[in-house]
Amino acid sequence: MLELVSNIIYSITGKKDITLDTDLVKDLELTSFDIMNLICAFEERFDTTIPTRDVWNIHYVSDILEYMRKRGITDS
Amino acid sequence: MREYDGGRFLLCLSEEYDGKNGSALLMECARRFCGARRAVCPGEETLRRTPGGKPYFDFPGAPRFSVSHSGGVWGCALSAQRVGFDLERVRERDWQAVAARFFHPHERDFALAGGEAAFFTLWTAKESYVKYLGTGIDESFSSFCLAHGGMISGDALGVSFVWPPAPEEYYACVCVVAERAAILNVHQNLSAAMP
Repeated sequence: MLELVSNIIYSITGKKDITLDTDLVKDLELTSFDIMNLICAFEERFDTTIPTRDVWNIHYVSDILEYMRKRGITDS
Repeated sequence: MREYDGGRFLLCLSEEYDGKNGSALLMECARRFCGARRAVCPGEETLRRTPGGKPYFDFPGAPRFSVSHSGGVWGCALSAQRVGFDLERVRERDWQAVAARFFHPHERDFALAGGEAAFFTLWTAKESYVKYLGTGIDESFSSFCLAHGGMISGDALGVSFVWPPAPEEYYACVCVVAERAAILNVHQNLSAAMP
């Protein structure tokens, strides 16, 4: 799943070397516009809707995986 | 550091941001703001942070400010009143998808009709507005509308937008209280202070 998330992040931001500990803002320097782009990409890829309020609790790549696990979002 | 004097705000832009010198840049902006108004600018000890980590100045008459950075450019708008600021570097992104997902339907139509420039002009206005409010982007981002009759306006929300000169490939927008509303606020404050 990390590889899939990394690929989505790369496709939007061009950022590589994504790990579980990668900080979306500090390490990847994502702006809110980048993050909105990521939401669109995740929603399209997993055919789901991500409430905007949920996004601001996500700081690290590991938070994305945990959020997907809790929401039952899988690579299917 | 480049300056833009917007009358009711001062905008400072710097390309020297390294991810660690935000406080130093902010102090430099405050010195320039106070200096332009012939006011004494207190030292770095007046730059404090809320428990949530948001910086603010703690001295009488301290300026309000809003910070944004994108790409290699950092910027700060300072004002005696509430202010919101957003800076965005144009990148090859699916802005149409963002407009469809996060804009009010009238704004989406405005952006799609005007293309990338219209999108980023509107995006920076919307983000400067939610920073002005202090809410950031939340569910209400899609519900308020700044596109009216083919123009971007904050009249209905009691705010004004200014798009100052920005570096090439960047868009910037400053949101301040509408001038008429600002005058009313002054009158109300004076009335409240009268015995």
